[in-house]
Amino acid sequence: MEILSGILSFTFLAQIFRMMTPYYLGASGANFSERAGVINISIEGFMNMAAFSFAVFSIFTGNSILALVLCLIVNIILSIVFSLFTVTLKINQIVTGVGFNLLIAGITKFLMVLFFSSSSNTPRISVHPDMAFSITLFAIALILISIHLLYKTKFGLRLRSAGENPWAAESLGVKVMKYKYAGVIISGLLSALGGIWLVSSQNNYSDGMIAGRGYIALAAMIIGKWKPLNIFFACLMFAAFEALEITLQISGADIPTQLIQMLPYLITILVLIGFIGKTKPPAADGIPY
Amino acid sequence: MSHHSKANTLSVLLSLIFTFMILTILILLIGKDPVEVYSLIYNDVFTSGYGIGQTLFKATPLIFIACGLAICFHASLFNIGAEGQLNAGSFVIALTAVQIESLPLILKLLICACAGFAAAGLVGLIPAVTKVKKGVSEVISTIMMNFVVLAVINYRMVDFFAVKSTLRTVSIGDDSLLGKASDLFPFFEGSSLNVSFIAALVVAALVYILIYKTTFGYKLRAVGFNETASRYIGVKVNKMILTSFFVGAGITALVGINYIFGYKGYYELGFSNNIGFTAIAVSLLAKNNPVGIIFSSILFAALDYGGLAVNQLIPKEVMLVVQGLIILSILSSDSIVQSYFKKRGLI
Amino acid sequence: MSKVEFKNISKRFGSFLANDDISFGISGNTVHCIVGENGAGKSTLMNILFGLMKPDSGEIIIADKPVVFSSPHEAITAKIGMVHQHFMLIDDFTVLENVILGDEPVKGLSLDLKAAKEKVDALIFQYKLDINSSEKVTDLSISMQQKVEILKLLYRDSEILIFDEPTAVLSPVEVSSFFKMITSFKESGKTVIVITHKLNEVREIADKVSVLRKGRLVYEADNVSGNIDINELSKAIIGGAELIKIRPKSNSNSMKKPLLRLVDVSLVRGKRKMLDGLSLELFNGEILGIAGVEGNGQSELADIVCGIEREFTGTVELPDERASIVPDDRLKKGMIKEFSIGENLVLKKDGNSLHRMSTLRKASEEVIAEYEVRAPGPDIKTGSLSGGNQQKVVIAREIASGRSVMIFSHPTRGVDINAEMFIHSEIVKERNKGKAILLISSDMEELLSLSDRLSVIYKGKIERTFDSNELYAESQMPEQQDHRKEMLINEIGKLMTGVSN
Repeated sequence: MEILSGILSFTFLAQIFRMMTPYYLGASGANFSERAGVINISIEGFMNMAAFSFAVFSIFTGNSILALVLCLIVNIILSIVFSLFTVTLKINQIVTGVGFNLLIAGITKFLMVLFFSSSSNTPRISVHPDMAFSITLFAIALILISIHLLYKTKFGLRLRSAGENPWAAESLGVKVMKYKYAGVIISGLLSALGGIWLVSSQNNYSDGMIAGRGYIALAAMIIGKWKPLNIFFACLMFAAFEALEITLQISGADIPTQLIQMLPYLITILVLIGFIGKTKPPAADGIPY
Repeated sequence: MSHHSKANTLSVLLSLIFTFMILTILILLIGKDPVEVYSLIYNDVFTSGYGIGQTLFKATPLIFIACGLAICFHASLFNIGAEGQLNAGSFVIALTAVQIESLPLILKLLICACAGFAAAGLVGLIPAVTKVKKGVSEVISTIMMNFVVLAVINYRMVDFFAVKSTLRTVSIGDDSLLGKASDLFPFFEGSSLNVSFIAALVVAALVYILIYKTTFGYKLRAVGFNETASRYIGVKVNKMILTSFFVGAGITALVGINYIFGYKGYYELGFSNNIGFTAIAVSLLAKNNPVGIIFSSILFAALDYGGLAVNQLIPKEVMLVVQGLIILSILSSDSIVQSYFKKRGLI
Repeated sequence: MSKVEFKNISKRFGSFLANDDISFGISGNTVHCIVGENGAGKSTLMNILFGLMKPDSGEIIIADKPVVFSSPHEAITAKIGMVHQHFMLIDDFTVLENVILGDEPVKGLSLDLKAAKEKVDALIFQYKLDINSSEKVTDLSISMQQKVEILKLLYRDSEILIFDEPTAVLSPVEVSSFFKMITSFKESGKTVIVITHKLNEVREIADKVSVLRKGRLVYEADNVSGNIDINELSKAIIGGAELIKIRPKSNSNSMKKPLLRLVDVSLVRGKRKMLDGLSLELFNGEILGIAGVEGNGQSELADIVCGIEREFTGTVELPDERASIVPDDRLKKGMIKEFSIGENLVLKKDGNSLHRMSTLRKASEEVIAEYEVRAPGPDIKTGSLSGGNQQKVVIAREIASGRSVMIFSHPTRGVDINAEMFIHSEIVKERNKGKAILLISSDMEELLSLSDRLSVIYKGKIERTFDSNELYAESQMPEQQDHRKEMLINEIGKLMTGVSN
């Protein structure tokens, strides 16, 4: 009973919306990249890099707004390097993604020890009190922004054409390369916000704090069938799992939380097999142009 | 030497030089003396028996996993799921060992290895089946499987198998542990190097023969080079995908032999520490050639252990950066060298 | 005055001369048909005009000005539009989105979809295209998709419209409405260029026709109200009947038994019916030639017989699990170019065994000797061999696999004359050994000189089969033979292009 009332409360709902934030930012980012035809399995790493750099900049500048700007710049650079590999050099996108994840994990661990002499946590960071909440609001607004950008603007039309049929697009004068870079950079920026949110809501950076959220974001994108609103609902569902897991842990109920942790991934596999509706990625997703 | 192997050697060299340069710059930036750092690494890793022993001990799991992955990679199957596969295999090895504790060691090893192989292989078979039957990309399904497998193990573990208030299984017993290298060669005194390293070398040799010398290997690589042509020539492509995923994933389970029989005596959650991903880099650096994998595994292990050696000068985690840099620089130098050779019509 | 003028256009791919000094003009406000066999150089010429390729020499003059396009986009900007055989559409986009992509009306920060829709719908109305601009392309039939491609050209005010095999994908009813469309384009002042194989269509829509053969312009004729001489035209396309030499036929006394039998086989790919109740029988010790314009079901027939395509209806009876195939595209389908000759042979082995370098080398050397492969050494990767030698390797491998039914699909495409002769003699040798051979080709000389029987395939069906008596009448005077052959080629040409009924 206690659990039930806990679940139905307003705070629990608010919790879900809060927890949705990094998922939706990561998933929307991945979606922009894939819509342009670049599979980015490095969302996890991008979030990690951003979370870390935001924490570092916050500590060293003492100004979380400035830190946010600097952090976004770092992720733009990261995205450009990622595009250089996947778009310009046409290196396999998956392998590149694995490489970026490894490198970023290394960089953050190394700099953690170098800067803070701790392999696990940064000191406490005082983040602007409205930061986390503003990012959540932005994430919700992002539904409309993504829909407009993807479907109602010239930019979105051309970005999608790059991911669906780059040969046709190029024959009509669309600069396909440019849009692929743009897609990856947007994925870098949005996943950066996801990382910043995590640091803002926990008031520090700790090693491994992304904890697979970047991969859950990819899962949400697939379940959401590469559509902004559907992705949002998938993220809400995953956030609800997470909130439920925490509630159950606190209440000490005898329900295995590990199985709830597993649900996003299991559901994704089932969706891919075709048990739950059909999914279709952009036609030229992952194919170097 | 053919132009192909010239190009490969050149790109590996280029990437190692590049990484070495970046590392040197990094050390300088921190304000340390690169010569001091490198000589420290050299002395610790290559001159002491303990250092060499530890390096080879750390190379052992990388050889197993990378050899397993190489089988998949040769068929152009992106198995990103080694982390889950090796955990499933190792977990089963630990559980099996406890069940058959009374058997003689050699028999116990064989049974455990087979059980682990089968468990990891089955985990690998799931993405293979969904790929063959439903056309699901193995990339996404193997990533998802990693999390599913770890969650399942976590769940079974905590509730059924774990020693109270730990995240590990009960010990398989001290008399089940494999002989240490130092038992025979006192030179390796103190290091955890054990018989599994020899097993890893044997596996690498077998996988080498499998890939490069057998009918299966030729068909495997044919599928990787050109799936359509393979179908026309009459290679049973689907069967190849299923088999290579099963065998490749199965081999990753042997990591558990090293860790459980050769080192700790039990399975512990989180023991793998993303080695399933590092092994991808190891295999790529070696161009998925098992003999090369032995060397790239030792290089990665030496970096790992070398990090410990220089820890008082620079954080040991610098070697994680180096490992990441190696994989990215090998990818880019490959692409650049290949297009250079192609432009000149050499390959 | 010509709207488009080709002046001495030549284009070479390796040793293959795709366009050989082609010069002719296309008058404005007309429908100009370009005809010829596959590989005759039509597509190359159009790709040059559309900026997809650059000529090695020669120039293109449009409205009295020499032009050089380095991309399709430049050609489009110069008001040239092309509808490719394989559509360049984005399936997930609506008709409207496909049409405006690259040239989008914008209002503020957003697309002006309303203005775009008005413009596109007006074009749809003007040319009676009868299509809904808000539908997704993936939901449209092939003929509708073709209209979207046409809309793209109209939206960009293209004055020169190029169509590559436009009716290959259309049903008869759709063809006639397509022709009406073509006529209305001409009436509104546009110049239409149509690449086609179908001679009755040429008669119906062309104002003028140019025939290419082996990269050269060989024939030109005006067509005033359908008076064009179809016989002359088909002779010009197929050419050189006098070159045909009849090979010794197999020993017809031996017992004939059917090795391959297809009964009522149909196959649908995507939305197209590729095979439509096809039936045929193939006996041991014979070569059955399949003549037809490419895209009429030949490659699907081959895929089914060699066991790659399984989604068909009807029955296929074969003595082995699958037939052996020498596929039409050796690099994509025929071999692993990263492997040596010996290594390619390994792929045919069943079971699992060890292979030593020395035995593989020996296998390579045997093939090199027996099939006169010009290779610098036994270890060379097959990818580095020339086309003819690659083809010999593929043939050697398939022959060695010992299946009793073999498919040869365009076996001499893109190979030099020596390799061609060698390959032909190998095919005959296998036939004489008692194998059943299905020979798919668009090279009429090849078909007539090798086939014991010859079937013509059209729209996924065997239109007619000529038996050996019809193909070769013995003991006739030479002149009579020549006349017969000419008649035969005319007849086959008509069947292939759907003129016969």
